Amino acid sequence: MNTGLETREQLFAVMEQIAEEREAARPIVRELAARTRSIEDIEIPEVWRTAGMVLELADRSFSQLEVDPLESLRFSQLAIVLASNSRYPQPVAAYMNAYSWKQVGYAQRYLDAYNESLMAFSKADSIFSTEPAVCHESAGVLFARACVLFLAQMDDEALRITKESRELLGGVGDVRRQVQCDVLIAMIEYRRGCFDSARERFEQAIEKLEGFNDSHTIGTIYNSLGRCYQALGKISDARAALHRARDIFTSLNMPSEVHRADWGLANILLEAGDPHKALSILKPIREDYLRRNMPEDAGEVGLCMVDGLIATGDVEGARHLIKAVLAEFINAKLNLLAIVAIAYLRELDKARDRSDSTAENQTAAAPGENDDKAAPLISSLLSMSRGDRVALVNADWRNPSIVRSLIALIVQKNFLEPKHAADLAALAVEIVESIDPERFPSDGVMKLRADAWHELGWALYYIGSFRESLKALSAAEDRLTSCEAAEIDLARVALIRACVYGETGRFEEGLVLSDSVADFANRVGNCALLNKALIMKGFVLITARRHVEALPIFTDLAKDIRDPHVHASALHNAGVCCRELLQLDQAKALLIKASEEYEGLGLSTPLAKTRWALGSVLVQEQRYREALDLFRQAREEFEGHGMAQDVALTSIDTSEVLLMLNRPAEVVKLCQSAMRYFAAADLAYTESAMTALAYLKEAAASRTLRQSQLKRVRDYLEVLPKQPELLFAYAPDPN
Amino acid sequence: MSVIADQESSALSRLGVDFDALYNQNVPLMIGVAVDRFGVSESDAQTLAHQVFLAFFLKFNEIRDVRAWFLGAICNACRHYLRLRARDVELPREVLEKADPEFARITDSLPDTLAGREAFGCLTSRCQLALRLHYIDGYSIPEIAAQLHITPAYAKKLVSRCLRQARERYGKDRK
Repeated sequence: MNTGLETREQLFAVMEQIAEEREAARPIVRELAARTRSIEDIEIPEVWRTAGMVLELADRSFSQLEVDPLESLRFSQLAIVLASNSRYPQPVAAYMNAYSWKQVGYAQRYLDAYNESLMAFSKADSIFSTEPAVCHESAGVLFARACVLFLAQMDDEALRITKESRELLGGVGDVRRQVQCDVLIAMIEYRRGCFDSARERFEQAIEKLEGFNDSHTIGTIYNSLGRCYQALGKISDARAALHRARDIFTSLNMPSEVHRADWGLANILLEAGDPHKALSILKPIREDYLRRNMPEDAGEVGLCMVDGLIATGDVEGARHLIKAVLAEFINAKLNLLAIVAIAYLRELDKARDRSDSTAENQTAAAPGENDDKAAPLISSLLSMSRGDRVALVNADWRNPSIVRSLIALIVQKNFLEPKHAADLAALAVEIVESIDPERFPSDGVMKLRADAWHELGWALYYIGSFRESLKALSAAEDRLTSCEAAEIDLARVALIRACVYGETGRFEEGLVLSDSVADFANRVGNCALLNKALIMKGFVLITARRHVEALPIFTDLAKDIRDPHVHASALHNAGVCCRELLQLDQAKALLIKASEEYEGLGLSTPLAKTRWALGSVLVQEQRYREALDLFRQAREEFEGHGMAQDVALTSIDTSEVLLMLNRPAEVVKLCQSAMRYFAAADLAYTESAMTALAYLKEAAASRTLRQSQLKRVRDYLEVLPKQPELLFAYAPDPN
Repeated sequence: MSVIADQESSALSRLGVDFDALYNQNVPLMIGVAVDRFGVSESDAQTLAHQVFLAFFLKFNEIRDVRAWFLGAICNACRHYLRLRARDVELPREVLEKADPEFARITDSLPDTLAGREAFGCLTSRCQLALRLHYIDGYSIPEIAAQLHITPAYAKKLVSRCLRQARERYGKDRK
């Protein structure tokens, strides 16, 4: 190895050089820290490009984490710039570079930018692990990553990495940091509700740290121990631990940790019924966190203040505060916390509804306002991986408010993004089923469970998973019958069941159900429910191909314009009936009107279905090219929303038109594309659907495809979601 | 005999740590571990031990149990070194007569590399960081925005402004 460090003299020369550079760098860094202007736009003199300067900057960054995390970030970023330009023997160059990235990771963590923090730690890790002499530094970076994962509520991953890091730290005899790993494990246990085991681990960690003079870790443990004691009902122990933490951090001059201890003490006061005193402690803490760009902590303190404000009767003050906190969470992309804030807001709205039933206009405006704020949040939630979403359940999220917020999101998403709505509904079910019903008012949780299953049933129906939908609806009915549910809730579930029956060929059962719901709606004078029941009845009649009976139902419904969604739906279905009865002009007029209304409502999937129906009318009029365009639009929309069966059926309809136009080569491409889509969708009937599409593709490729074959495959694909195990049988070769 | 014993005023001695003594206590021990336990050649073991000692020097304030740290660090360094060595393949003798392929196009690439480095060096710190993140570390514009705590639109503007700045300043320096 030729590294320039072969001899003792070479080694000490490098060390001396770096020590000198650090001495020279110290006054420069002090001067930079004292600048009133930002250090970002400074010109970098050549003499700054030294290892000493990089190390001093990184140390300055570390020392500012508590006081000013944004300044800490700027210093560490300047260190990165300088580190990348320096030339030293290894491991100095690698160490400088990785050490700077590690400080960036810390600063981003303090700024609640967890993704960016994890990226910076990964970078540091990858640099450290390339050099033999510093590869053990990876263990420290791994632990830092685990801490960020814990803060980001990814407990499983945090636990796994902490254990790995603990083992590596044992390899370099770093007992102190091994104890820090134990502390992190205890914190995860606390969050998972294992208070006794967490307490035991915290107490052992304090004992182990006695000889290490590590006040910071001891202070952190006392802070956590205080909360643990509080959860175990040991209030005086909790108070003592938090005061101990406060004293330690005050002596270390770490204001944000002092705030954390005060926050714990304020929580105890809140529980003890002294909200005024708690609020007087919490207010300056929140202001200071905000001043130091720490939105997560500021927001969480804000939510504690909301509890205090409600306890003092200042509901409007609480409302204003939640809105401010919600905006802060959304701006900082703290999506999970933003949902908590929305849940608070909804709870407050409901409380206001109950206490002030006359202020109808006011309450009507509130949900819309909340929904606007939720919009960016929903897209973030939908873009999360399933693992991240499920992590919600592991975190301290098992409460009805969260489920109610999720259901509100699902209702918004049902027609816009049905696949995502189904995913969210599954998550809502997962959370609500994990809530202990005894912790909440008598029937509250059972009713909420029914609501979540109801939403799941609807979402599954909408994406064509009929069998699963029926199971979800049965679960909803079970939950409703086990509590004192209103008849209207059962009626709503029955309507979806009628829909599924229509799709699965159980027409008579579907008609009986929709009639019984219509009777109930008439009896209680609920017009909205009556309209829905009639739509369902008409829909079942359509699927039973009884168009003559269905048409007058939809024509009547189309006269009622109070509910634009019902009106558009009635127009669409009337159009479909006219098409089947060969009243093509009438059908076109109705479908065009329906598509305009859906467009106005911004409901993309019903709009796609209307375009599809209109395309079918144009096929009957032999206007193939225009029909193709409408089919393509519909198909793209269905693909985008995970509606597999509709993708398949529009593909068949498109193939039929392509065959008419004598363009079999395009049928091959279309079938290939549909097969790729099915492969990615991974449904229960994916394999069967792909077999049928492959059959079409082969036939089209060999130019033997006939309309009759298309019809056979279409019929098969229509039945497939209802009978996923049905196999596709090849037609006998006519030759 | 201490290397820096006569240099009372050296920056190293002002750190208040007797690195000479630490060297004498730990480097021979590390070399012994590398040679005996891991079978590393003596010359490589010495270099490894020096590298570990240098790593220690860079963070000596944070290390409590020095001996345990040196032992752990040299063991990890040896394992890492052996892993890397295991991937080495002996080259044929005639390779010595051939030029290193890395330098095959050095006359073309070196001026560009030097120009790039110079252009980078004459930028503000923020610009150097933005361009480094984008062009060297492969960060996308939204990732740069998140890392710098600015909006994506501003990050995009920043990267193009910095490129322009590099062109202008480098051109000016050349004139």
